[in-house]
Amino acid sequence: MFAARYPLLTIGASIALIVMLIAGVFWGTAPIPWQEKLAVLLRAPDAKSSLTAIIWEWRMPRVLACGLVGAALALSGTLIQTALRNPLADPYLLGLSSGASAAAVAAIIWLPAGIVAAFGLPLIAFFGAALAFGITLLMAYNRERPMDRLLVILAGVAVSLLFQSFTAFLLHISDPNATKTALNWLMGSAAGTNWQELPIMAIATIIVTLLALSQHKQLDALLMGDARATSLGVATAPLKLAIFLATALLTGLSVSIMGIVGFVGLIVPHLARQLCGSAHKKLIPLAMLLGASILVFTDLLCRTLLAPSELPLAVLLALFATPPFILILRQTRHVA
Amino acid sequence: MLHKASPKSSNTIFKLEQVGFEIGDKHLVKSCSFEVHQGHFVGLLGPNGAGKSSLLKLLYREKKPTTGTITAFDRSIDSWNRRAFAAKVGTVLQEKAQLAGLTIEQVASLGLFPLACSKKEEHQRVQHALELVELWDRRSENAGYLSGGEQQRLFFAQILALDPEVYLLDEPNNHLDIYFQIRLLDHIKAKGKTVIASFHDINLAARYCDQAVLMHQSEMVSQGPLEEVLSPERLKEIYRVNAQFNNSAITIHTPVGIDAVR
Repeated sequence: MFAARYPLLTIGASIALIVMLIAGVFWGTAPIPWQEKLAVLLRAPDAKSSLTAIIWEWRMPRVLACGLVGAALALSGTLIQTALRNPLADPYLLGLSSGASAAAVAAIIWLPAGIVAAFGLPLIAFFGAALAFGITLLMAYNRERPMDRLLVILAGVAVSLLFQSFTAFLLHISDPNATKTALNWLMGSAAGTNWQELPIMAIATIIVTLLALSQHKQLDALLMGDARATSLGVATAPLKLAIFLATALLTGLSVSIMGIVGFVGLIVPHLARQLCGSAHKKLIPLAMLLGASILVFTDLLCRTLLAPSELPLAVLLALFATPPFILILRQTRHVA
Repeated sequence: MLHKASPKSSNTIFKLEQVGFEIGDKHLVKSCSFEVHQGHFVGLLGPNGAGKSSLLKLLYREKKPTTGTITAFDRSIDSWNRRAFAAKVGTVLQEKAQLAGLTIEQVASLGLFPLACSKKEEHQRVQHALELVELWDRRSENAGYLSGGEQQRLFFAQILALDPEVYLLDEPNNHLDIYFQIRLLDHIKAKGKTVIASFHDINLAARYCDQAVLMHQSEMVSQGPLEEVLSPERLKEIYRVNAQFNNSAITIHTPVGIDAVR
């Protein structure tokens, strides 16, 4: 069905990602002449130090962060849709993102800065995401019947609202100066990402990717339902627990870097499935490449469309994501 | 098989002792005790909702019994590594699945998951199995668009590719048209492997089973050779039909309480 064109697809998606990364570094709010871009990039001795700072300290970590977060969210979405066999499952709709951001905001406001620094915001955001996910699953769990697809999503939306109102309350009672920055961050923004935030995100994404690829047949078996996977000898409970934790980890880390980034985890896996089918050996790499390209591209648009001011990521992402989301909803109605 | 007090023999595949299974306050299986011996074709019989599928779930280890013990190949069933167990005991389940995005060939080769075999052998086994169910020519099609009966044939291809020691079949004739019902079950019967299959169609059961376990309202009512289990009295009491078992076929006369068909 999809076999012949897969190599072409991955090569195309890789080239697209590379082009997006280069474009993301070269274009932005500050116009820089071409010959100077190259000089700065090559760290030539005659390059202006202010431009070097913009490209190396400002744009590059930001662009790389977008690539990593896009790939991580696409991977999370793919895994969680398989584990729950639910085409609407995604870290944002299931409440993970809101849980992570509520935990992060609470930690920033309540905990002394020393403790936050010691634990690290990513870890705190991970616990928030895991807690929210746990509540969502508990609300939808029924031990006599398999989990209802729409009930899980409704539970996720309820949990999401709960954590959002908690976050709003925290922002309301906190220092008004902090509120503007926090709001910006909550709507999703890659601005201000620095190099120190990247290694942990990169390591986590690589480890989860390798683990997921090593289990690609188990994941395929899971698509046929828990009972069939079990009857084929797949230990479904540990596999699903690992998927839930990996999703919470990647979502928590993503939120700690650039706030809530919705829809990438929902839409991108569907896009990839349309292109290469559901077999995870092919699906996971393609979804991650597409996720990375799309987020880098969206971030670039957010920076350049209304330059010199910046749009929040959420504005454009929601705009892009709405048509495919409606399409998925319409298809899902029949199978729910 | 199914001797109530048989001496311990090495060809015992499954041994169930006082096995019960409940969810909440619902008793789905109540104190079932029987043995299944190698090479027998055992029918799990009973009307709808008798607990046949629940009992099979305990055998392919989707659920654990809440009371009693199950021994598989002379060991506690829980002591088996899941994958090693699945390589010996294959299953065809009855519920439909969402297979969108996987090709027919990909789904069939998932049946070989419990087995570690070379790419070449995997290909041969899958081709052979898909040819048997007449889906080989359509192997690159999206399995998500198959009809219920075609999907059931594909799941048969999974177990035929694996060819395990024990076949567990939950309502194997579901969705299949009569040609494939007979063709596939004849094929499996001819292999001489151990089969445990649930049937609600007692005529089909009569064609294949040499032994039977009869269930009614979650309880095991009777076990033994098929002719003894399906006595006219039990057919009347449990299946509510006036019927006679003779010569591997059941002749059904009338439903109980209804005089005659005009």
